[in-house]
Amino acid sequence: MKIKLQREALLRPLQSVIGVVERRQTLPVLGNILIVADDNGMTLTATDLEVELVAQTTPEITEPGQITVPARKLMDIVRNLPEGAEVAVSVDGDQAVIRAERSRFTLATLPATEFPTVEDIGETRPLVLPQRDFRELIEKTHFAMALQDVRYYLNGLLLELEPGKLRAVATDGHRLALGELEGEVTAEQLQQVIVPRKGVQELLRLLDDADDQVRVELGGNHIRVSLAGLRFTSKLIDGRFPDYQRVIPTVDDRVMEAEREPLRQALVRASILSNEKYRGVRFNLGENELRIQSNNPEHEQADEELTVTYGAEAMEIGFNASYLLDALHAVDGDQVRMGLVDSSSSTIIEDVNDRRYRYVVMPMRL
Amino acid sequence: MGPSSPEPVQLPLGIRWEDAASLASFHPAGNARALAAVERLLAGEETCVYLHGPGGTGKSHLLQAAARAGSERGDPVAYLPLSERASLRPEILEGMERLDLLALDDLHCIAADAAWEEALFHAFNRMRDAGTALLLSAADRPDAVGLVLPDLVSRLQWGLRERLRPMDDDDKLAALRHRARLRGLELPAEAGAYLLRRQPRDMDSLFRLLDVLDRAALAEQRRLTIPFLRRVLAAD
Amino acid sequence: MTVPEEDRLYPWFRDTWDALVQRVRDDRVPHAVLLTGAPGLGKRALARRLAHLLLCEASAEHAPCGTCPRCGLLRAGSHPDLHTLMPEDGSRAIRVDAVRALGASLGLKSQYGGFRVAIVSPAERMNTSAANSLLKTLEEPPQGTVLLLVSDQPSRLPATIRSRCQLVPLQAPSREAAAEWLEAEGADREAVELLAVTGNAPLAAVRLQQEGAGSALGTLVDQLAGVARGQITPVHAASQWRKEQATLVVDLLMAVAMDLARTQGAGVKPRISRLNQLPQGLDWEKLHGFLDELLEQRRLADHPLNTQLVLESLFIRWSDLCPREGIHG
Repeated sequence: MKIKLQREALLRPLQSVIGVVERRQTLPVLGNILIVADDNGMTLTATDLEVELVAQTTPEITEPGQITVPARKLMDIVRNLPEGAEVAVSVDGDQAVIRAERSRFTLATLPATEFPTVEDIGETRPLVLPQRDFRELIEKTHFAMALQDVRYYLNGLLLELEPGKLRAVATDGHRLALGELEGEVTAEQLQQVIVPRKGVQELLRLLDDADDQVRVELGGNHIRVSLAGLRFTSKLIDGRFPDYQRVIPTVDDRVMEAEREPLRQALVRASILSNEKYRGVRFNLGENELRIQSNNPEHEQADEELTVTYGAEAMEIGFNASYLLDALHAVDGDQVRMGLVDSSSSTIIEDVNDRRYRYVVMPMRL
Repeated sequence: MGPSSPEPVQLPLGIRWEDAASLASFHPAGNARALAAVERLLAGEETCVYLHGPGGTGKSHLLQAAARAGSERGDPVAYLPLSERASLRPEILEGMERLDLLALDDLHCIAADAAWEEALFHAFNRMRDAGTALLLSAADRPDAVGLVLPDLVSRLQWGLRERLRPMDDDDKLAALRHRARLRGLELPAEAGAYLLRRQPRDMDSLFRLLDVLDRAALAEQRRLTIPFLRRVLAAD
Repeated sequence: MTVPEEDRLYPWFRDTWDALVQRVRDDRVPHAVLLTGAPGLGKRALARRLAHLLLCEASAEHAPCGTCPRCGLLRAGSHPDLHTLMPEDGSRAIRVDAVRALGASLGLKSQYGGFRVAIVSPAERMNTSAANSLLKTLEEPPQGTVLLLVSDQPSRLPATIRSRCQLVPLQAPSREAAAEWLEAEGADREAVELLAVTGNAPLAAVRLQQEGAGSALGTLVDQLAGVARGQITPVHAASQWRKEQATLVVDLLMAVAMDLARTQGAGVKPRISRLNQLPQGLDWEKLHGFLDELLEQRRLADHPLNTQLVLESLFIRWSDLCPREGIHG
């Protein structure tokens, strides 16, 4: 292999894939990056066997070939080269040689055949949507995923495709976040995949608040997302997501509407004096009035009053403040709506003007 | 919220995995033949299957599962628990021959009730003519459940008969853990054995208990360990 | 000659292999297999070979092809659908974290759409919580997963684990077959002699020889004869060994004691040729006590002990079981 390119044309793709290279890996080849130079240009691939990232760049290729080299060392070398330097990479026997201006480095290599790549993910119906929308969908739902639950399919984000809709659902068994994107989804039937936590976090790192389009493919075993110059692939969780529809309450009488920011701030303040472990706060709803109270084992108390819109009968209900705050944080609009049933049933929280995102929180018995 | 208030309890969402009676959730143990008979009935290879055995052996489960399997593939089916006889009238059997499958549970409950026996006898004949598959369950053989109409007894003896055997503790444990798994719960063997030692042994109660445990585990985000079970059961 | 860590098919496994291949062909691969047998038979190589067969792209063949890209990854140890669980460096135990991580990996779908395979070796090295954790995977293996457990002490595995595995007991070859194989591999007579110590396990003999067991066995038999005749003291005999040789000495003593028990009990010729230098008429009951003691020491071999004291006590017990008239000034 023999290629030549600008430092930046090598550094940028390196930086975008290096995140999945684990610092402490059991297999030397997983600490390496796969470089493939052929007629289509050059790709850099990194993997932790769960998530794979492939970045593209276009060097001047004198001799095609493929090789793997230590990822972090290559990255450190390239990063510390002078800006704008021309970098030449070649393979000599079992070593890779990096040259730039008056510097020369030889790196140990491992053969490309030892590097596991995800090839074909099977037949898919690609979904093309604005990067910003996809990012938002994940960002506004992923926080409700479980953390190391024994039901390991809760430790991931459900992506559900149905004709005209892409949906994301996360739940840890206490609360649930649901997001919907409407658009040109050419699904013939309902398709569900569960993306593991690691893949979700990596996707959030990669996706920008930008207008350009991303291509999402759901295969039998993988999800693949292609952005400009970068391709993300993650394995899927082998499991079945529970039937989440049944926990989303339909509420029409006990509806409270409030300004989001004052509600959020009142909750933040009240939670300061709540029990640190449970973070329980008590809601007392009366005619157009909400009282939020908390206390802790030290007998300290907080009391907040807010003017809201509420016309149904008075009620009392307890919540874990963190769950409410997570939901309020994810909502964009100024006005939120809470639909309540009773003190032991789930509550729904949503933007008054945007019902694409819905949050369901189970109460606490205080 | 006084100083003596108990610790707060986070309630769990009602997310649940389908673990209702289905053929897949039937743990066959020693009753694989009965399961096979029901499967053959569904496949159209039998027209009448009569299951008998003591309570808690899985008869109702198999009947419900068969009805469910039939309706899932779009067949007209019905499941009639005759133990609900108080709220049922014999006329309900009229027109049943238009179904593809009728599952009649707890046949012994109508024994010695002349109107019911008569209605069933005629329904049986109509269904036989129409080719409706019939799945019956009772506590004992047709001639030993106290039916008084001899013609009905002889009709019921036409079909394939399978006896269900009670499960021993190992089977119960396996069935319980199988059911737990279908709900996405891992019930460790020692924890399951603990439940069997300390709780009523009939499967219905055990499955209901699983429901309680499922909710508790979800609420506290805990595994089903023995100390956890001990605590939940003490509180229950 | 080194003991290879790969997937070769040793001739003494041929029948077992054929049976395993048949199961793969019939699509009857068990979810969990427990390969058991004496140390140094090549059990792990067999497990690996089965894993490779399951993951090779050309798996209709009788053996992994060795040339497809998947086989390339398998050789490199980087196939994403093959997980190997062994004690980590510097540890003798397989820990629960590693087993949990395996469970999580098997909870993800396969990379190449085929089997997901895990090898756990030596399986008895799992500590209790690790074994319990593995049990969950064993009890409900995700579709398309195969767990291959390898153990030379399966009795140390919880019964709940053993009962969930398809048991594949592996036997050592005959002495002739083992010797023939060793010679074909270029081993010398010393290695062949060590087959008596390893119960005909050929790879164990090779390993022992590499550890210097050939000459050690000679030295040990000399010492035992010397102690028996009262020519050297047990303390002196023990002091001749280095600390790191303790495990080897215990193993060799074990082989000697077993061979003696066999010759005395059945009146056959000893397998270790030089044992006829040792005195006749050993105390039969004490010999068995000695064997028990050796087994106990081997069981404790995982724990740091004062090795000098251990060896001394073993030589003292040996001198105890020698006929009194043999001991004179």
